[in-house]
Amino acid sequence: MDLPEINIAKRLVEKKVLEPPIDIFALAKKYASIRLMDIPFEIDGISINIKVPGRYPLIILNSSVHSTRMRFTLAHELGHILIPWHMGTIIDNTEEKYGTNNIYWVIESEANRFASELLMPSEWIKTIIKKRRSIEDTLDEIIDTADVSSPAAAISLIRSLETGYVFAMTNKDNEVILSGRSRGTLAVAPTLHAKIDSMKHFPFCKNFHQFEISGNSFLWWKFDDDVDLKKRRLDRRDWREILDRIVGDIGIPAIKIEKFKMSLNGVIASANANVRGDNRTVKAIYSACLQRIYSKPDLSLFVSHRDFDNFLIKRVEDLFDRRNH
Amino acid sequence: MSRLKERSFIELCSNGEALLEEIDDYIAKWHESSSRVELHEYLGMKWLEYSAWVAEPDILPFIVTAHLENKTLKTVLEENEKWPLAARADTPKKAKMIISWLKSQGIVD
Repeated sequence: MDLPEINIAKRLVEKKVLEPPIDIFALAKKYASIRLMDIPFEIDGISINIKVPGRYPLIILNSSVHSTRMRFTLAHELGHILIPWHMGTIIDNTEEKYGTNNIYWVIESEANRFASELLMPSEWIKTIIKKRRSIEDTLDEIIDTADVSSPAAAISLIRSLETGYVFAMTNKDNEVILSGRSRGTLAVAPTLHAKIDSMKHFPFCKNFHQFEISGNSFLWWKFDDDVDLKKRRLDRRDWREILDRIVGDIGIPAIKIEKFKMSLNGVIASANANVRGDNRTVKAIYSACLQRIYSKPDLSLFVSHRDFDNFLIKRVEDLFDRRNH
Repeated sequence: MSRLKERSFIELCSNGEALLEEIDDYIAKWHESSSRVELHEYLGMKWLEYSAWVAEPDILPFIVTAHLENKTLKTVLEENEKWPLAARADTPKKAKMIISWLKSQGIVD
């Protein structure tokens, strides 16, 4: 079941028989007057007189922004006009920054989702995914055909991909400026402003692709439901003893050791709870735990310890045996 | 045997499955149907909402909002009267600056 704002965009696409590239200016002109102006503030657009009885809506677009961003902004403003509960005058910055004004950001997110679905209909994206080409080629086709920016295309693509994908877009200092994961994926997308070491981030993933599109650097990871267990070094200790050793080695202060263990157990328990039914195998629990543990930046020292693999394999086998015997 | 109740126009609009502009299609559907319910019920409106819409078609989004937020149409309309000049922005300071600029450009009163 999709969100109402996505349904509205879908209905519009269906009713007007639209397909990418959407002529967003022609479409928006059917619902509002449009003016391009050099707005002396860092905003993308303004919608005026939305749902004001007796008045025709006016959309003002900032003429100084790139054409693909302007197209997205116009689709976003059209969202404000067509979503029944968006009213008044709305000043837009389509980049979501989430300040203190929660209601404002709720309606901005709704308008962004409407714009994404309108410019890049999910059914159309699925036809491109079905071609089963590389992520880079898939993104290129969305960008070129729909005439959208690479960040907008990446967000739409990740929403339509099957479970098991994570992406990050980084700046030249390797800081994350945009990220996301496909529905149902256990690995968490890197947080904004985090520095990414691409070699260490999800080393167990099935595929990793790094590429540049129009000056933006992208990292895409694909995870399998199952991960082969690493060949274990001979170790007679049980997982509790190994954990004690690692915790001692990485210098966690004595006062914080119990809290650290509880937190780690919570992460593992949550991953374990996500593997159910016929899919519940040691390899599947291992994959779930790896995805969750490597998503936690505060566990980076822990995972880099030479005994980490032995610990996790024994822990996972124990979880599997407890439930199955 | 019970029949699944067909969702009304207002319910479909609330979930984004119908556009506000499609109301005419639903009225035509009612005319063509053998439905015994009154038109306002068929559309999913209360009688007062329907009467208000007949007098002022621009209030249709407020009727949808009233249903979504479980408020009366009167309350939603009163709340909205504050909006035209109170612009929404990420900060009140920004909203104030931009409204002043819009006024200086003769775009808003």
